[in-house]
Amino acid sequence: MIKIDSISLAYGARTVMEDFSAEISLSSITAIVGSNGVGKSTLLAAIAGELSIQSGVLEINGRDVSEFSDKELAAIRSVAQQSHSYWMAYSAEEILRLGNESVSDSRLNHLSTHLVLTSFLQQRITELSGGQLQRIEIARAFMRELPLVLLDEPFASQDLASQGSLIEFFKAEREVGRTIVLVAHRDRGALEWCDQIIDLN
Amino acid sequence: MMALKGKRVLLLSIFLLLLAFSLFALSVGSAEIESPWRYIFSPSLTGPAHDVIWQIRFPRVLAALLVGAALGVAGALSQSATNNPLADPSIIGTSAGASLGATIAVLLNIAEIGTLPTTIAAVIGALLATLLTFASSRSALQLVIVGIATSALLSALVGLILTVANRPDARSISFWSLGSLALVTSKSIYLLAPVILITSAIAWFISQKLDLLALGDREVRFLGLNPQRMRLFAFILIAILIATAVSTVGSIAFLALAAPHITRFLIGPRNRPLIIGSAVIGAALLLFADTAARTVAPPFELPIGLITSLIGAPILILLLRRSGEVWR
Repeated sequence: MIKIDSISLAYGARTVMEDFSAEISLSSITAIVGSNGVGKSTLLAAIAGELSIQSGVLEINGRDVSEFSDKELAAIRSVAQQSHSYWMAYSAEEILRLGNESVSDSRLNHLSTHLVLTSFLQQRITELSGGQLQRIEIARAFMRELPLVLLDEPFASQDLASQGSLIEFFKAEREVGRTIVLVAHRDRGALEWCDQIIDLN
Repeated sequence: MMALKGKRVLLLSIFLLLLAFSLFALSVGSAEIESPWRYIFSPSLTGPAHDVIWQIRFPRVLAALLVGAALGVAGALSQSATNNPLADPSIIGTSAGASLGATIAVLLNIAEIGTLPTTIAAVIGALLATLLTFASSRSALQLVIVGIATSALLSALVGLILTVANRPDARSISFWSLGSLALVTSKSIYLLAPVILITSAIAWFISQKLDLLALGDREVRFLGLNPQRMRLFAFILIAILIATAVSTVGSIAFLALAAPHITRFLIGPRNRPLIIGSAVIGAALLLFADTAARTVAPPFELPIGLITSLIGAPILILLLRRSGEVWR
């Protein structure tokens, strides 16, 4: 379980969030929503252990996030960034495998089927469209089968069909016990398949 | 994308061509030698021709191969370490630091060009420049910007020192600072060979890890690793390679950028094959350039930096045109 108890978040001198509390249970899908600049990605960065909280308590399974070492965090959570630029022309499959060398071929095949990556897996990452690149990013986050997966705007560049397959995929990953927290830029009605919606407005 | 086997065959063919060209390079030069091949294939034959080939040309050919390989490896490392296809060792101040260290050592009479003390001075200069750049930057992008500034600063210092130094040999130092293999002797090889071979081998071993930097710093941190630390280790290797090259033959323009790029176009971005390929292509470019430099207008020598640019730039442009507008 992730416990967020009256935390404050700041980027430098700018306070983004004050006295915020929430709870995220295991094996669930939680969406963080809210208007631009309200701090959705900032909250995600705090849960990822990337950004330190100014005050309050942020615990994963009863342990303060700040107590985790970088290696320990890397062993329990993965993060899919909202956008990602690549400069070196590795193939999409090579990018999926980087840092995930121990992942089995069957996991890779499973992900490329369910996230519809197969047709461009051998293409250079620098040649992919925004939507394809984003699905590669999401697949990277699910490669190592970690308990907690954080996704920043996974639907941003996806067409309706891709959004549908993403939702089915997320639900299936929840069924095997994964906890998914995603930032979404859509109205609550479109997110009723989530277990919890945290509205920051 | 070319299959692994095809890449290996391509690299091997380039390597064999390079060996053949090395033999050719031994046979040509400003000294007229009758049937040079006899002396090349029977090193036991004595006489002035033997001495020209084996004591003057042979060390120079070897030095061109070693320094070219060093520049290629250093260039490949700098591109991967900064995740920036435009980076080369001069961009983060390493070359300028090495030049400054070597220049100071030579002008203070601590060392002679091409000897171990000069190389040590150059390594110290290169490492200090590298650390200076690293101390003032937090990301790959900052590294490049701060590096350009460091480079400009240190190059200006080298120019200033050479201008005010009232020394008859300042001319030869400034010729050397433009890059030349004319001062290479067999003693230089004893220094170049072990340093360059060992450092390149270490580079090859760590290079697989450098692939991760292509994911961007943020993703590398999410994986529990420290991108700046990985980068610093790569730049220490770069500093040693560049300093060894610069202290023996001066700064040679463009090669450290061109060699890994040409290799990228031929075999792709993965660092392990890239390091080997860049070493081979770098060695080939420099040997070709140096052979041209000393044979085009004998007995005069052309500055080698001009020729590396003259050869490297068109190859790079042609490859870019052929492959569309995609970075590799």
